[in-house]
Amino acid sequence: MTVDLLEACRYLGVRGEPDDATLALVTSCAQEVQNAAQPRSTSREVPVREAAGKLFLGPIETRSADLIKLLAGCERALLFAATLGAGVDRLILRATAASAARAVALDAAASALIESFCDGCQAELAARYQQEELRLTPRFSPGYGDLPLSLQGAVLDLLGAPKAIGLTLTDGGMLAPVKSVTAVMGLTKNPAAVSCGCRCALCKKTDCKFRKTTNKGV
Amino acid sequence: MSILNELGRRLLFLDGGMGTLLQERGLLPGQKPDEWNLLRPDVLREVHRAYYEAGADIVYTNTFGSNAIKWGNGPCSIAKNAAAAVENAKEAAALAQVGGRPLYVALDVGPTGKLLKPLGDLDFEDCVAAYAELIRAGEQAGADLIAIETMSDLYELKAAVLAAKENSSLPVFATVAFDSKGKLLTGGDAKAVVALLEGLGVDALGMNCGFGPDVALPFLEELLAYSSLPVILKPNAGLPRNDGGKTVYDVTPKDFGAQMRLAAKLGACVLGGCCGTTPAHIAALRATCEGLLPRPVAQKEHTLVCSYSHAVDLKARPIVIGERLNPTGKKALKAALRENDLDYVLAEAVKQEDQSAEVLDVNVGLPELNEAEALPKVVCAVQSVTGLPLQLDSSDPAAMARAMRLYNGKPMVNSVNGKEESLAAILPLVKKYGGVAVALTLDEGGIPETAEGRLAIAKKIVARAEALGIGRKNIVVDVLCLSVSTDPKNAQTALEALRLVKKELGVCTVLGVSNISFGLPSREQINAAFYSMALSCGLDAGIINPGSQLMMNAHISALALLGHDPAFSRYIGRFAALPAGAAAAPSSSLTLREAVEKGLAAEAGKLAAEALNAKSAPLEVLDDSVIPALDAVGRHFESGKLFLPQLLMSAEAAKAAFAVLKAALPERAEGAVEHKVVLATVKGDIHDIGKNIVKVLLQNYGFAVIDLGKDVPPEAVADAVEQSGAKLVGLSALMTTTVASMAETIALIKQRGLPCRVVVGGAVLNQEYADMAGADCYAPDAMATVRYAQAVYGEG
Repeated sequence: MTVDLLEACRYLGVRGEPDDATLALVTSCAQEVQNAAQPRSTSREVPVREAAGKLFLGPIETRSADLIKLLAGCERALLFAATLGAGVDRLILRATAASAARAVALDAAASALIESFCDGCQAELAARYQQEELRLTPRFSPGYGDLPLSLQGAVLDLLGAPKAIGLTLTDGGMLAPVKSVTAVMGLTKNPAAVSCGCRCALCKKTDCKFRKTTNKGV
Repeated sequence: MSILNELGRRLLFLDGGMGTLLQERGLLPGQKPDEWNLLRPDVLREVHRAYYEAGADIVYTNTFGSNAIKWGNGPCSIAKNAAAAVENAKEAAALAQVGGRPLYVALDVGPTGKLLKPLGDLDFEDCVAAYAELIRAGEQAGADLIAIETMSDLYELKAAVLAAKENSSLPVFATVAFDSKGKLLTGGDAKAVVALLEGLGVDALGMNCGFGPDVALPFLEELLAYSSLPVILKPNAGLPRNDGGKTVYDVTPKDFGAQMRLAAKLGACVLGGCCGTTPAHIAALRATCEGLLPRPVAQKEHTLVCSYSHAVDLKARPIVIGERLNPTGKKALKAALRENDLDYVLAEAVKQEDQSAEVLDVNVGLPELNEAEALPKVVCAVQSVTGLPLQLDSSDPAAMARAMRLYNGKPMVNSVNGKEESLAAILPLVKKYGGVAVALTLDEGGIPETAEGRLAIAKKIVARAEALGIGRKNIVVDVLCLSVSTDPKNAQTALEALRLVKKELGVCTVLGVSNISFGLPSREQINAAFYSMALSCGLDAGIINPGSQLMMNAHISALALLGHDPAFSRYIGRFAALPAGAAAAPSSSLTLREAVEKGLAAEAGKLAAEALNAKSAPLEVLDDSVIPALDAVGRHFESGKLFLPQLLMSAEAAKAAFAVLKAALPERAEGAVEHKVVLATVKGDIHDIGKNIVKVLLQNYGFAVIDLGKDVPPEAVADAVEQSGAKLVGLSALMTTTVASMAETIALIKQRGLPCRVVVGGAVLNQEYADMAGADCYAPDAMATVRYAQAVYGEG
């Protein structure tokens, strides 16, 4: 599991080819992040049910037209949570005291790393469900589209995430450690419903600075 | 009978898993197990009884999640639930057919499910209070002991143990959950766990959950190597495995019993099971281990201090304690402390860690500062940027008490001395919070002139500590070196005292080395020579400047000569890379302006110094080189020619140049106008990287930034604006959910009629959100904030 350097540069707002100094900075920060990361993930299968505009993911109830659309035809879904662990947060805090440039580069590298870690977890889960001829939809996170961010608490509770992977929620509804992800993935028999392409395509926030215009990004 | 009469004398057996058994009996996913204490007492009694009858001497109550933070708005009060839980276990004990064995009920105390500050938003004292409530209820309900378990963060563990010690007189067992690498989720290792828990005075310590007994054995051995207390092992029935959406555990009762027998033979003397274990596992465990006698618990002599992540053993080899966080004789640090400029303090902490300090001394003693407020604040801030253990340095017992309480780990405590007043104030704190006390060999009569006199005081302090139950392994004697400029014999006296104290008391020693040269020229030369001599006389910790090449060279060389660097690998590592007669690098061919534009901080600092040496006026250098460079970089950023990393690297280079130039400028005249900007990440938001970027740039452009940090309540922002008279406030929010608290903050500022503008920024913000929140300006990036600040203050 490594940091996608160009992705990290993209998070830093770099458009086009990064210059040598930026690339050197990001490369060394990526190394530090990889050393400090203790990536952990957990997931759990839940039945999916839709009734009167409400979506039920096991015992969790929510409203989200976007997620209902993504999970169309799915009888089951996976609740998923992943984190790089407290060490990465500490690394960034430490850098903040010494160098702002390093701090932002570490932050960007960590964001890229949690994404690639989630991609890896998702590939493993996909392989596991292949035997059942089930495929995974792209992962969809609370806070995106119309899926409320407040769903994170219920997902973490059901996954027992604080104990299992050390991922917690603050009173303000933020994940701590910061470099963490919660998501829902549908399990579907319909290969046509699966998009393994760019997740940005699912997102309605078309004015996002970080929106990928092509599958390759950058 | 108290469990303490049996602890360590025979093997004690605990119960096994609870969650799976309740699920088998109908507990639904998402339902809180603890609610069944009142809803299904019959089930709880049945499970507890099954464990007693299987062989458990102690069962844990069903209160793992019964602290107020996790319980939230549960269906009844914490006290009522805890009372029911204890009652269920006691009734099970009364019914159990165990042939008259004594049975005990442990109040189970589990984690809160939240992260403490600075990683999360849970306040340490709130955490203590939540545990205190549960513990008082449990003791009142008749629990026989407190079992703190599955802790995966050292700070939370400390909060729970403190709550237990402060709110009950029951014995305390404490166990942690390691990951497969033997670390807690927030990084602590076995040695640090032992250091912390022994310091806090628990009765038994160990590990639970995580994995099976086989994986646990190496970590158990590590606990046993350092612990002078009975050790508990309560592992899972193997690693949890996902089988068709269900969590399953594979170790059979028979294998569990056999593996646990190995653990008992290694020295664990309190044995049980966690997730996936059943009464059958406990029955097998008891049957397999019955008849084994516990290995006697040996007293270990390690002198351990620890942070949240690791412990340092002063007996392992001499260590460097960084002396730079002490304002005595340091103008810049004094100013930083006075102006509450924590950034400077934190940068010094990180620098010393990079220079290979192993413990950092933290002293904020200035007459104009309230140490009882300042020391804990600085200690917490320093712990947010470094994992090094700290030496808390204060002569104010109130400051020491508060700092020791909030310190995440087991600190060095600098200091106690032979005066009655000091002994009475400091030793009880060490007893309560844990710590390694630095014992100064002085008393009411001052510092004895002879080595024997200093030994006598050291003996007295050690005796007084031991009388309170503080082992001598937790005393580090400072025999005090006085300057040789007042009496040349001072060095020999100190060295002789070191030898005597080591020989007679067998304790570790520490010295503030640089005192020796006070009043002499080229102090480092004498310091380094004296330091080497002291190390050869048995010094275990030198409080020195790790930034001094001479001192660190002496340290590394002495370690090699004294046999602490086998094969000289550390020595060679340090010196092999240095070219012979390493001279100062030739000066760069860049100009200062170029260095700033390219973001080369070291060069920029050096070139600024060279410019001053060439008799340029500081302001001239600033105006001719630094400012134009910054402007060029800012313009290129705005036009998209270069990006955030380069902008910040230039900012840091400019800062390095500023630092050099500022030292040469006359102090700011009294009453000079500062352009102040208050910055904060709003309440509920813990992301502050964007705000920090803005801060660096504003400072670069000469603004005086008042940084309130993250998760800042509206009142704190309004108060800061009111007190500082700042004309501009910058608010940052990352998530849509916190835009609401941004709006609240702005509303409060307007409501109080404060004459200031508000600029907002952050990942989710756009002009629309900014307008909704009532901001005066939306800044899409850091430079835009700088430009707006310039406009507000009529510059640029």
